[in-house]
Amino acid sequence: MSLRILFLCFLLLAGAGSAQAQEGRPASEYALNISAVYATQWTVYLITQEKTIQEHGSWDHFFEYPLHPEFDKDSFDYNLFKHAWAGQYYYLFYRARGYSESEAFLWTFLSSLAFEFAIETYTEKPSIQDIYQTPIFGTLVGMGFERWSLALRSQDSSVAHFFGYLLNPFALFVKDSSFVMIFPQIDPQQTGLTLSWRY
Amino acid sequence: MAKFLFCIFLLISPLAQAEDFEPSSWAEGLHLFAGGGLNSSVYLSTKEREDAGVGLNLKTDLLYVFHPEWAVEWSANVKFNRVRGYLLWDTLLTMGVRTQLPILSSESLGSSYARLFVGRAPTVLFLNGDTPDMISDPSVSRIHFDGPVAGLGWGVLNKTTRGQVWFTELTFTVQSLEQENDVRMEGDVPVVVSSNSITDNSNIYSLLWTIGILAF
Repeated sequence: MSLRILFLCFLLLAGAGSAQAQEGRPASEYALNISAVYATQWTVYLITQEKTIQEHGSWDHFFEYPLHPEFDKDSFDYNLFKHAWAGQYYYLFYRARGYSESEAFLWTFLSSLAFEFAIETYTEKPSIQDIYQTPIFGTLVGMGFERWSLALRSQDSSVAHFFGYLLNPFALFVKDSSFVMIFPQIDPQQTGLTLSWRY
Repeated sequence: MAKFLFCIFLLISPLAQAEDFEPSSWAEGLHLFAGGGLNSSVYLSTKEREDAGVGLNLKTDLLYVFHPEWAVEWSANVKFNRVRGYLLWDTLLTMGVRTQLPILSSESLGSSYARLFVGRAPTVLFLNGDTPDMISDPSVSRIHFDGPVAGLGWGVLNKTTRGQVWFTELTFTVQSLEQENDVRMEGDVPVVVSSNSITDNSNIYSLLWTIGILAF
């Protein structure tokens, strides 16, 4: 459930504007992009860590813990796989917004720092391993997925296209890559979003 | 904390833009190397010696090149071994310097470089549901060790005909185990149930071989 929510939040954020490579991007765009990621991080954190927040959360921690990063005691399934998985979404998001590879890496790093120092500190101290591994491994996984996705989407096969967009869902919102519409659906019985995707 | 602020300063520095990187003339700015390989590790203390055999490792180096022949780097070397049937997971988080070695470079060998680094190494031993003699609490699922690490490496950089820069490297590391934390899991939350200082001069000596590429 949480992964699906994460996936949808990122799709919606990416859909906030089509990605175009831009030279001399204005500061407001950088601010908007990182704010969008930060808001999504908070949303996902509140939804997925509800129990941990209730048991260990505190605003005192939120303001004290950033000064005390430590080596966490997590297992490698968290530190290597789950954090790399999250980091690759940051990277692919920034790439879809038109950032170069090294620029996307830098902003992946900053988004990861924002999570470690200004979100997760509500429940735990910043993890030194995560500070390094989330953006670095996330960028590497993201670079691989981006290339793999591009190779799949360049084939003349609907199945290959499907898996190409599954690997890099943000490619849906890159200009000329596909055509996507999201529109609200509101009636007395149900409220939701309808996603239309032509590829 | 100061080390992290320094690393973050490097990352957001306006100079930190990767340009064309040549094995013999490094482009100033930020670069990321990644690779995998094998390691052989030995655990030594005043009481025992344990061969951890050959295991896999995954290495990433984030370089900030400030001169065509010099760079500072922030690295992680994740390695896996087996000790008495238990999985040993090391993460060597280090900072160091890297320099070219023109005297050891040639067209056939490639461009040589040397690295020197220090850092910390969280080390985890997974108990697989067992309760070894040194553990009194059966709920403990793994032991986390912590201590400093230092090492040096020698590698060569080359470029393929398609323009991909790649490297191969030999690295020697020494890590000291100074602190032991016994950890059990409460759901997804790891809880430290006991902590001890290690005083028997425990060290892990590792030789690592890695091959990899320049990501950017």
